[in-house]
Amino acid sequence: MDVTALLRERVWSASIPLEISLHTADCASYNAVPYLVHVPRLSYLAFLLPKLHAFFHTSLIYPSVLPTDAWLEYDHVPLKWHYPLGLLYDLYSGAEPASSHDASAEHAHVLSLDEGTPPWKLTLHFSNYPKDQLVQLDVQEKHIHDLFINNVKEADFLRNGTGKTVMSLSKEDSEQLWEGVKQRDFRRFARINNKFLNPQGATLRHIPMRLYLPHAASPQAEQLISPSNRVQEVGTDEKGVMTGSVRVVQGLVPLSSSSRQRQTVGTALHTLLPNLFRNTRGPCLIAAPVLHGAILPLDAGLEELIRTTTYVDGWLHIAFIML
Amino acid sequence: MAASTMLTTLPVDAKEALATDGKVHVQKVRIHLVAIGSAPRMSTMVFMMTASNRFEVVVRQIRNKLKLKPHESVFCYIGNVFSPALDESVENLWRCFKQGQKEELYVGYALSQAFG
Repeated sequence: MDVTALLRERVWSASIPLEISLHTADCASYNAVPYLVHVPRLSYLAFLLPKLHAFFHTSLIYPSVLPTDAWLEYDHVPLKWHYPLGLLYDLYSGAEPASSHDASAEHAHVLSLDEGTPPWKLTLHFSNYPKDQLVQLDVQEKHIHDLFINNVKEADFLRNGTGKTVMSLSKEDSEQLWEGVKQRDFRRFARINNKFLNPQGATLRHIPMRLYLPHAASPQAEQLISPSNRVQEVGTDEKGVMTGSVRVVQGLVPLSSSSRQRQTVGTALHTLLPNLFRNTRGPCLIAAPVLHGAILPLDAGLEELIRTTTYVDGWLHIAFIML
Repeated sequence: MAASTMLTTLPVDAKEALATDGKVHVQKVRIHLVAIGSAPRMSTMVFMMTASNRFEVVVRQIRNKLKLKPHESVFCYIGNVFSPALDESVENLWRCFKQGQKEELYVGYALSQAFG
C-alpha cells in the first residue's frame, strides 16, 4: 500500500473509546452502568442517540423522553452535533497529542495510539436541552444530514470556486456519500469523495481548512447552562484560557501560493494567523496545531493533507493546544 | 544587535494574539441580500453587519424584515451553493466568499428549500 492510501486508511479507522454515563438528574437508579463504545474519530455523536436511548431507557426518570431530547456534555461543555468526534476530542478532552518527536519507532507508535487510551468520559442528559447552543436533532436524522451536506458543499465551493461538483451530484450519489459515512463503508464514501478531489475540467483552488483557537469568550458566551439549570461561569484552566470556548478562523488558502511555492501547514498558518505564526517554518511558542490527535508538522504539504487526512465533510478541522 | 530589531522580534502578548489573530481588519462588513424564486424583496437589500456576529444574526434579520411567524421557514444560501451553519461567523464567510469591488457577502434567501 502506498503512503497516501495507508494514511487515508489509518485516519478512517482511528477511533476513540467513550464511557457515557447518564446524568444523575435524569437517572432513576443510583448505579446505572455506563455505556462503553468505540466511536470512529471521523464519525458523529448524533449516530449514537438511538443506541443510547435504548440502553438507558430503563434507568430514566421520565421514560417518555425521545432519543432527540438527549445531549452530551464534557466538563459543562455541550458537544456540538456537527463537529466530528475527533475534533471534539482534540478540542476538549485535554489528552496529550502525539508528536513526531516521541515517535522513535514510528509505526509502533501510530498503532499504539488507539490501544490503552483511557475512555473519554462523557455525560448524557435527557433534560434541560441547551437550545441556545445546540441544534435539536430529529428522529429522521434530517438535521444532522443537512449540517453535514452543507459543510460538504462549502468545502467544495472553496476547493473549486464554484460548488459545481457537489451541486451536480446525482441524488443517488449524494445518498451514497451519506450512507458511506453512516455505515462506515469506506468504498462507498471514497467513490464519491474522489469526485470532489478530482473535479472534471477544473483544478483545485483553495484548501477547506478551519482553525479552532481556544479563546477568552465574550461575557455572553462565558455563561453556560449547568446541569442543575443554573447559569454558571465556565472555568479557566491553569494557563488562564477559557475552557470550552473556541474561536473559529477560516480564510482563503490557495493550493499553491503566488510564488508557486508549495503550500504547507506552516505557510497557511502564517497567512491566517500572522501574529501567532510569525514565519512560515518556525513554530509558535504558545500554541500548536493538532489534527487527528497528532501535532501537525509545519512542513506537511496541504495538498497531500486534503487527499489523505480530511474529515468526511472534506474539511481539515485543526484544533490548537496551548503549550 | 540594534534595539529596534530586538523590539520587533519580541512576541506580542500571547493572550492578545490568541484573542485577535486571524480577525478581519474591519468592524462591519456589507451584506447583500438576494431574493430567490418567489421570495418577497425588501426595501433595503444591502446592510452593514458587525463582523464578529454569528450567521444566525443574519438569518434573524431576514426573518424580521420579512415579518415571518415562528412556524414559517426561511432558507439562506451563500453563492447559491450552501447554507451556513447558524454558528458560523459572518467574518469567516465574508472573508472567503465576498464578491465585487464593494466586497459584499451575497446571501440568497428563499421561503422553501431552493438547493437540495
